[in-house]
Amino acid sequence: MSLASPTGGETSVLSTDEFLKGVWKQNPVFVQVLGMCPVLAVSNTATNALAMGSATLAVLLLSNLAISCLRRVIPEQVRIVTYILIIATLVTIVDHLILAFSIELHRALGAFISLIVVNCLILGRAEALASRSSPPRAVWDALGMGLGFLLALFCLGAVRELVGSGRVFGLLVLGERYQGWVVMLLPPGGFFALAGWLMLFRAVGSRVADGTMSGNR
Amino acid sequence: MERQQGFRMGPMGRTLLIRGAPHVHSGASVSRIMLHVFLALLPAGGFAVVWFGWSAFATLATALVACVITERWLPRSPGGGSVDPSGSRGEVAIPPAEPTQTRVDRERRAWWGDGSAWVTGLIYGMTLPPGLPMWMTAIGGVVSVAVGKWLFGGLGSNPFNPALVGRAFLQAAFPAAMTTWMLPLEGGFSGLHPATLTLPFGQPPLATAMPDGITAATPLARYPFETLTPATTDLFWGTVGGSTGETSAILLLLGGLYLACRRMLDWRTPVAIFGTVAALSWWLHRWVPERCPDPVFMLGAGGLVLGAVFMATDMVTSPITHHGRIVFGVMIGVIVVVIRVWGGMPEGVMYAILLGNATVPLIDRFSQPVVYGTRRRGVSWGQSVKPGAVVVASPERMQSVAAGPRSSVSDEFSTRRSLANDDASEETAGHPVARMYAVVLGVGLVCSLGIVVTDYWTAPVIARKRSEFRQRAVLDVLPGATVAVPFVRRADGGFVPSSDAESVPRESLPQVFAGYDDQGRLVGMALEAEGQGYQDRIRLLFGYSPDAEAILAMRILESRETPGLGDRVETDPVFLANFGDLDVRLDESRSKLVHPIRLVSAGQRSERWEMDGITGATITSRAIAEMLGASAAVWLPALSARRDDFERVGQELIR
Amino acid sequence: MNQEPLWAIFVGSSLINNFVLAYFLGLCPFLGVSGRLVTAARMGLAVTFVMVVAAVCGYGLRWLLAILDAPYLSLISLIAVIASTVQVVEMAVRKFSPALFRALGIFLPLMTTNCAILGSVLFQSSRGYGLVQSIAFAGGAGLGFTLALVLMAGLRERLGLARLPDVVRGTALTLVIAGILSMAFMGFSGLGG
Repeated sequence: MSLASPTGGETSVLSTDEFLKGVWKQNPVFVQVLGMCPVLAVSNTATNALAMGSATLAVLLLSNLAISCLRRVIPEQVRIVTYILIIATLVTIVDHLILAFSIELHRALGAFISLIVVNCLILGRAEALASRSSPPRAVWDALGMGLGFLLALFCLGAVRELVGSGRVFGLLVLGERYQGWVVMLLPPGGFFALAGWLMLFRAVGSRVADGTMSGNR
Repeated sequence: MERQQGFRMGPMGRTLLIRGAPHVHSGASVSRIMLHVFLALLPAGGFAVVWFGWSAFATLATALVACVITERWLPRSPGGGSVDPSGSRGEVAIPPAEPTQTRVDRERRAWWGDGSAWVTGLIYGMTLPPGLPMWMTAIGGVVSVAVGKWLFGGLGSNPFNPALVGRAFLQAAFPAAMTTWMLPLEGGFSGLHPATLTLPFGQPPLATAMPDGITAATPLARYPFETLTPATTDLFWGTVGGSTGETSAILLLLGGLYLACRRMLDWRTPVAIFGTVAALSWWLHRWVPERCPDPVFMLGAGGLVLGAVFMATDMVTSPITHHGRIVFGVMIGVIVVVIRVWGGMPEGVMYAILLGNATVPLIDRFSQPVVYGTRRRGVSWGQSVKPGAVVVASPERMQSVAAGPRSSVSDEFSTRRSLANDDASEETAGHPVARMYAVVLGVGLVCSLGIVVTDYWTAPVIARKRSEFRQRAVLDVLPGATVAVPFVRRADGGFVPSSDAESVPRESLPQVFAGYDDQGRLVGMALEAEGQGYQDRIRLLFGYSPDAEAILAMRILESRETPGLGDRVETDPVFLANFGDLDVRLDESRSKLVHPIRLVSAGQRSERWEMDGITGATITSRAIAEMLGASAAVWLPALSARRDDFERVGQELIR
Repeated sequence: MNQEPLWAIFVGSSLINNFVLAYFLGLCPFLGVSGRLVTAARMGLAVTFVMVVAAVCGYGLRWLLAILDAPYLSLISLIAVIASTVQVVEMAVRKFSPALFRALGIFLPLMTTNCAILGSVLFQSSRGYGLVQSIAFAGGAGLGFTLALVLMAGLRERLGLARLPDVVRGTALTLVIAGILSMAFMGFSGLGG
């Protein structure tokens, strides 16, 4: 399983490598292809992508922390149910906070905030890492993974918004006369943009890894 | 790593899949067939240039050049195209381990390639509207060849018709430009549509800004409004509006006949398509003539002939068996009729063929006498697990679960044990069930408590923001109002401000808002309406003035309509000008509208109860007209009967 | 109360707004289980079944929460309901049809984390569907999911032998196909309008 990343000993707990693993080498979106639903659904503008990424990051961070603190309490058999309960709670809280912060943003993200509950990434990290490591390490890992997710979402959102409407964060970038490619804002554009990024990652990755050990790819 | 292996090895592992692609006819080489298809298409293409003028020529030429250059520029994929055609007649396509020197390889090195890009380019160009900006045509051409063919491993393994992939991409990317149809110009042959020469990546001039007579809807697009069909002879010869190369039925049919006689085209698919469309539309025309035109029109109009003869018969993307081709044709015919008659698009041939292409592997599978039952059971657990699966069970465990009579709870969770966690399995037996429940219950309680606390904390803020949000929206649709008060309807039909109503459930939102000016006079009421739009549900708020008995303004609250097309209901000046004095007078009985709201084509509004539609966003604008009409019919009688309820509150406001 | 006719809800959730191709729900199984036709079809039908059951349960839950006036608990109770629905369905299937249980295997427990199911229940409540409407919506969503999954599996099996360019192997190819399918499904938009 790609989730059960080599965890190593508890010695190199907070190394930069460990952090960068989530951001780059094991990027949850571009490499592990996890948690795709929100990635594609709300990445039609950079703002939405950033908001969704931050919300996911917050939930991931808190859930990893909570689960790693409770790891000795939760019985093996009911751990998935317990994790889901904890995650659902955190998501509800984040949902309320976003609503209190801005109704417009909440409308744009729609049901996808609630759907963070079933984001494979969060449950995956809880299962593969947080349930078996100390709180600092779990938080560190969540930071890396969450940032990787946030970055990937932002890359996708920015490209889709730029090509789709000539804007980034709603600011005109490509000029008044630019004809937006509406498809990029529509569902097919989400698939194409992600496919494009994956191909780019693969092309760059194979060039970098040529000759060296290419890990699990 | 099961998942990645599953991808890399292909779903079948190293098994051989019995199939016929690339569908190369006996003896004939790919480029020979392509040459003949190209020739068969030329008359219709030539007619287009004569009929639509230089713009059509520019479109066809750009499409061709874009496709051919893309094909040359992309690296040779090691795809199915390198299979020796003479070796593939046995229908077992075994990709050679090393690209071998074949006739196809030699052909591909020639300047014309294997000719497939030329055919793709010409067909693709013929499906485009003649006045399309050249830069858009070029982009679609690149997409056709690069995404439609090259990514899938080149000619022979592309599952979708490349020309249609390019066109579908353009249709989704530039919906407005792709539905701007030009009329054959007065100047005839020498005419050039102004949009053709739009600067790259720039916006083409808007249809509404063009001189009259340059744009015209195709006969299919016009039908739902006027229920008129052009003369059959016009359809037959092609002297109607439409895409560049699709208009002339006779020339396309002759081309198809030529290919069929040379056995380069299977007659079954087009005949099945034509037969299905004719039969279905004959039946539907008798049943709902205002929706479905007569069969002759359905056959001759739009891209049906071009699609059925030249695109559905594409050897690579259609089924291999005769049975399969008939099923394929019938399916395309059904989808075409469904989309044309009930769908939002006037034309559905492109979508029908793409959807048909998607089902080809299934059709092949079920129409072949290959034994369906040869699958081996229980070998593919690894492949069947979704990526990111947290829980993975080994086959042995699954079997033991299915067979073993252990207690249901531990059974349940033993299937949920991940392989990664097997090291922890010794301790699992030790936990008493009671502790399990206690922990789950405890966590659940703590979680619920957390949520309740958060809600207690944030609820006032959220409520305030919500009411501010609504306040803004209401004042927006009631020009002149400075205060908005939410009302709810009591059981007896009267209205009270929602703050006065006793015990309003927190989720039931106020139904009506009343707006008052500085003097406390009633300006009007704002109502919400909801309905099905083009893409998804639309919710809107509109302001009603009881004095003028008119709709003052409208604001969209929620919609997922196509950007640049459907969402113009929020920005289009002509459409927004409908509001302000949209007549919703009630008749003497005060129970229904004197004139129901009616949608007319853009610029045709002549009565106060009519609404100008938006060209290219007819469905959305009609949906809004219908939502307004329905909501007005339900609410206005009640509102006008209880007008005092609202005015009383206004008087209290001043005091 | 929403007055949408049942057929419109069904067509809407299965074709126009196909869960996978337009809402991006249930992408994980869509990317992961679409490798083989047979498993894809089974997975799709299992999801459809659980969706319909969850729709009924979700309707009951909505009613209960409305009485309790505690909408903020909806998410946590929904996910609990789905998890237990999946469990009950699993036990029932095992009891009454061991063969089917073996065939579905690991897919049954995995459905708890399938966002298509949670999504479908959430949509039903945000649109205020009644019981029958919820069932039509869930059935349409499930069958649409199955359709997309089966089409994708067929295409991927066919492409299993093609010699693809290096950059596109793996998930990227599936995504490109999904994009084209999604464009093709756009032809259904406005159906019934």
